[in-house]
Amino acid sequence: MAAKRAFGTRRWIEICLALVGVWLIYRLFVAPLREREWQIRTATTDLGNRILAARKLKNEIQELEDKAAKANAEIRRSEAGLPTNPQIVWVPQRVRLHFGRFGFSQFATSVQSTEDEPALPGYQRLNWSVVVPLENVTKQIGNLLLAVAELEDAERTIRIRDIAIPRGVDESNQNMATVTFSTLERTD
Amino acid sequence: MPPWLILSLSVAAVGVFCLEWRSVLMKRCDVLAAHLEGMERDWVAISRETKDAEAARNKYRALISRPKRLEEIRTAPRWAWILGIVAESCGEAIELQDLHARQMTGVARACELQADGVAFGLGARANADRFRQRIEQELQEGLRGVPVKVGFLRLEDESDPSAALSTEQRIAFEVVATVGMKDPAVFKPSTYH
Repeated sequence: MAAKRAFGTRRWIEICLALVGVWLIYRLFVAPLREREWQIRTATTDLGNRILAARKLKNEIQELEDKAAKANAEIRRSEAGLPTNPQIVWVPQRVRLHFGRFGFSQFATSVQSTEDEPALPGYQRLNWSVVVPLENVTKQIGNLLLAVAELEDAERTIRIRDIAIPRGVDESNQNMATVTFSTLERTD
Repeated sequence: MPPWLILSLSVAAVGVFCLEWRSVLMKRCDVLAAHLEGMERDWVAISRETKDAEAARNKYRALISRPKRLEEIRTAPRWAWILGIVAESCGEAIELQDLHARQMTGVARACELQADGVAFGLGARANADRFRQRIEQELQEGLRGVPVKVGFLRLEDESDPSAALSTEQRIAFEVVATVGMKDPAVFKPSTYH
């Protein structure tokens, strides 16, 4: 009876050793490769997703580039009538012509400041001032107001900001009226 | 067959199976690694092309929106035509002496105009008020739905002594017009007469 029990115990030990052997073979020879395969697959999937996203982005940028080129062409068409040289060259000339039609010939047009236009990349806003000496305010004010009112219509690039016709006279016994306006200029 | 032999053969069979499996796995890993290597080369190339993609995307989007934005700016309501109305409303009984007008920022069409002048002739006060009314009427017609207010800040006999010698009635006034402002500060009770 005891010999039979000892034989049964030995059998179990042998089975356990066999199982341990199988596990060891798996752990040593197969498991590392399965792990490596899993790592490569994960890396492949991850990289694949990144490449897909990058290709999508590339296509999107290509489309945006095409659209930007069309937008640029549209802008060029809309600005076709405007001189190509800087506004500092032609705006004062046009203002002079315009005011000349209303009887004002002696005045100074200058750029006071420039500022970026955040909502419109590639453009800057030029702030101008026109100082018009008035010898007789009460007689000339009407014409000046009409000239300023029509300036915006005559020159679509010009936006009037303010006008000041003060009562006081300067050393030359003249009232100096100041008109400020702004224009948008392309910088790119 | 003795049981130890069966066990040994079983373990050996499992060992052979595992070795075979290992060989299959190694081949598969090699193929996958080669594929990954190819993908990495692709990634290097594509990532170089899309390096500043985010900045480029923002730049192009801004460029695309430019015509619309430009059109908005160009067609935005203008206000200087109001000066023409003031000039045309003067008539012979009104003399303007100084004027300030400015566009108000932030609200489309909003502007404020302030003018000092003298009304004369018979019924000079009425002439001054007709001037005010004409401006108000013209602005209301030209700007339907936009708040317009035109009023006097001052309307009084002219204090100029040289003018007082004249028999003609002369009334000095200060008129203010506001456009696009719901509750203009200039007309607050402390200043408005």
